[in-house]
Amino acid sequence: MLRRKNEIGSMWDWLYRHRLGTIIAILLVLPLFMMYFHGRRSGDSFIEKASIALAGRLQSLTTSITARVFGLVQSYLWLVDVQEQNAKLREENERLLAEALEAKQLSFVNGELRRLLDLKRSHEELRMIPAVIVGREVTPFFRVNRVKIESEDVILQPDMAVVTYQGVLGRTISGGTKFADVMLLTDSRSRVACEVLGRGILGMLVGSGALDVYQARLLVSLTEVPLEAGAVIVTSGHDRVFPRGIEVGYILDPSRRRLAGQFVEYEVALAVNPAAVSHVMVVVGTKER
Amino acid sequence: MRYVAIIIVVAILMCIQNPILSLFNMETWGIDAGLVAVLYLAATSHALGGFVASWITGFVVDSFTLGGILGMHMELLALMFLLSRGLVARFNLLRPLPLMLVTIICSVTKTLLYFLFSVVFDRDFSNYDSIFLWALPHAAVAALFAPLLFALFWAIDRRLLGHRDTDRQGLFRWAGAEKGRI
Repeated sequence: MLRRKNEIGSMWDWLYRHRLGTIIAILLVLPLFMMYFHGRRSGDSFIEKASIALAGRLQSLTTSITARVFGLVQSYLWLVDVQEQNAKLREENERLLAEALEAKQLSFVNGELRRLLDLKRSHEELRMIPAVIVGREVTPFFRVNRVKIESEDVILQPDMAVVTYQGVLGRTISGGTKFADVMLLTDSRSRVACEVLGRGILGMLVGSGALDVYQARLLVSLTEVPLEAGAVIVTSGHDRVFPRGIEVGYILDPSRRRLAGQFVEYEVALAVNPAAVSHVMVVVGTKER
Repeated sequence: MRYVAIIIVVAILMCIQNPILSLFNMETWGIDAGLVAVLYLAATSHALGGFVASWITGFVVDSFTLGGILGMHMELLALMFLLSRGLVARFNLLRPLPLMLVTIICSVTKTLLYFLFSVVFDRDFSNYDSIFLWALPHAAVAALFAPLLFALFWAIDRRLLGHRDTDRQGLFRWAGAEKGRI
């Protein structure tokens, strides 16, 4: 018994003397067992569960704090490059706006040209050449546009009809190889032989010369029946300038008609607004001629 | 107390590292704070205290290592402590260049041991290529940041203890510390 006590005592002495080595050996061997045990991936050991739970909570907390702090920094403080980005975005915005505007213009011009083409197809008996309005002159006395044609073969003459897909715009009053001045229907000198569509009532459209509105007056014989509002006025072709059947405008308010000598005068709203037109067709003749 | 503080700092570093790095899409470039802490302990602590602290640091690192097996870093960091204790006699870890060199050596050794233990103990282990692919980049990152982490640990030491008597080699002169202050 005493011998055994001595043996145990000497063992403790040895361990105490070699405590560093002993602890190191234990602490080196223990993880090997842990690795052996946890390497099977059972995941159900208490230590593993506890360590994962604790680390998970800490990680969740720090992730949340970091996200908030960095969110704050990014939202309010981290404004590096913002000015540069703003300038770039502004530049891009301007470029896109310009492109959008150009696309809109192209779409508008495209639509206008398509309708002019339709007009040409619908009047196959007429020889029409396209022209672009290059100048507008609105004086107190005259209402005149200048048009330019691309064709070299045609010489523009006075008294050629200028029409759009909406109707009559005016007639040429001076000509040349490429350019011509167009007297609009609103010009006080303008005269167009017209008829009321579907009624056979003939009349003469006279430009109002008004500065503020694009209007004209239709002179109809006193013997004719009164016209109703909205009656459509088309060219009759009797003046040998404007082909027959092209729309001119419509009667505005019959109650405001006036007597002018042997005629009754109606206010006519014109079909074509010259301010909104950029492409026109010049009627240079008929195919029969 | 300083051991506890260092372990807590390692835990905090492990915690904040991932969310910060993920903000910059640099999750794979984490700093091996556990290894640097062990090197610091080897350079500035008594053998037993430093060893036990390294062992516990390994447990903390294991807890924060997703998908690892428990005990791996305990073993690795304990071995790294012993290795770096051996290297301390030859390299002054309290100067940046030797510290960076030792960090690279220890990091690469740790990767090799990690591979060895994984092959032996981890039955699901299959990422052979990525371990070796990232060994040197990780070692480089750890070496780059090791002086900064040493300065951090030194600041904690100074705050907690005021001074230490382990600075027999002119500790942290490069960090602006006076000789014998730690």
